[in-house]
Amino acid sequence: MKKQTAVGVFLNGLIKENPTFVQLLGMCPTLAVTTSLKNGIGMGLSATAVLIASNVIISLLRKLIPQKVRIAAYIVIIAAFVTMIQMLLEAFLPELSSSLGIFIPLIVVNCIILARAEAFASKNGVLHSAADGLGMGLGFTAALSLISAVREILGAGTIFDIELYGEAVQPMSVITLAPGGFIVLGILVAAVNYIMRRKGEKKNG
Amino acid sequence: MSKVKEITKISVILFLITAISALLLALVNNITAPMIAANEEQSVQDALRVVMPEADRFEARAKGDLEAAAEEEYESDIMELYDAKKDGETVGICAIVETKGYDTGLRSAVGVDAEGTVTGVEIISHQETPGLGANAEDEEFRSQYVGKNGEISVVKSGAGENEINAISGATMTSDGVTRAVNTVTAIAGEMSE
Repeated sequence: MKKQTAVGVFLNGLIKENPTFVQLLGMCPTLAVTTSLKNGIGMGLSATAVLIASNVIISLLRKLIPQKVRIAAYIVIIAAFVTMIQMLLEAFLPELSSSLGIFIPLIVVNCIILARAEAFASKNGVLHSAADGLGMGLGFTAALSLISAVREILGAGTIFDIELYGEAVQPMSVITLAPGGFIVLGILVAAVNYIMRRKGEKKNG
Repeated sequence: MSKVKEITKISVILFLITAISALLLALVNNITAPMIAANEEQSVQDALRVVMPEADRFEARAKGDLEAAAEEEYESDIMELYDAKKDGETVGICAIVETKGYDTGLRSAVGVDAEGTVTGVEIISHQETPGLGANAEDEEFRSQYVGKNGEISVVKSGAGENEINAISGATMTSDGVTRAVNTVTAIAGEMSE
């Protein structure tokens, strides 16, 4: 593997290896919380904060943590950060915390975070790990925002709780339900892959 | 390195990581716990004022047999119960009631005056579906309860006396809120007799 710059690592997480659209990680929270844009952004940013913090700490401790118990150590570190974020959200943004509900504690088992700890932070320096956390986190946030914006506009007829088309048009409620989540996610993944492939073909002549 | 030494080293490191994490959590909890409690108290007080505008003070009280019977009948859970007072006189009761709508944790504040008439209903928190059950927050739905006396039932449309129209596509949510309201009117009704 060639040496990457911190910016390269960041862009890699944001676009090329986007955790949601390319790696298809963390699908459970992706489908569950993307019913409104506010929830999508809130969830994405909370996960980003946890991802950066856990990546940095795990990178710092990577020589200290014994190989045999590394997963246990990672989970403890991640869980500690998630719990802190949960308490801070409840204290400062109670409304967001109540609408995200159970999905905040579930960040602990979000596979993106453990995957980055295992695949990246445990092998790389602090700066690169922070960049990776930021890139992956924002990639996750961007993906959630896109999915939730589509679902909120089509399914509830609002964006950021602002009415879009009034009484005349009945929004398609199915989009905000679970099946709609799968449909929107599938179409978006297909679209992103199509665009990426076209770009790749152009580059290769 | 011998086996015993290796195991000891692993345990000590894991213990240290856990201990430091616990310490940090305790620290953050110390700072945020009072703020969280204040937030919750504030949202409850605000909701109570909306559902019982007449009262100037709310005195919390414990649940008794009457409340337990109402909870059982309507499959609800009274989280908090208040006597609404105005100039020292009890003018009604307010309660924060949790029921199950389409999802668990549908929490409503209900105010009922001394005659057993509903004065207001507020949704405090819920996990209902946006675009469907979440419409329970709308004034249009909640205002249907105001002025009702006695047991309320849910119909799909064309509500008559002591009936409310369900939110379209969210009968279970409507039913959940109605059970919360019925819990409180049942208590108030028993008390006024």
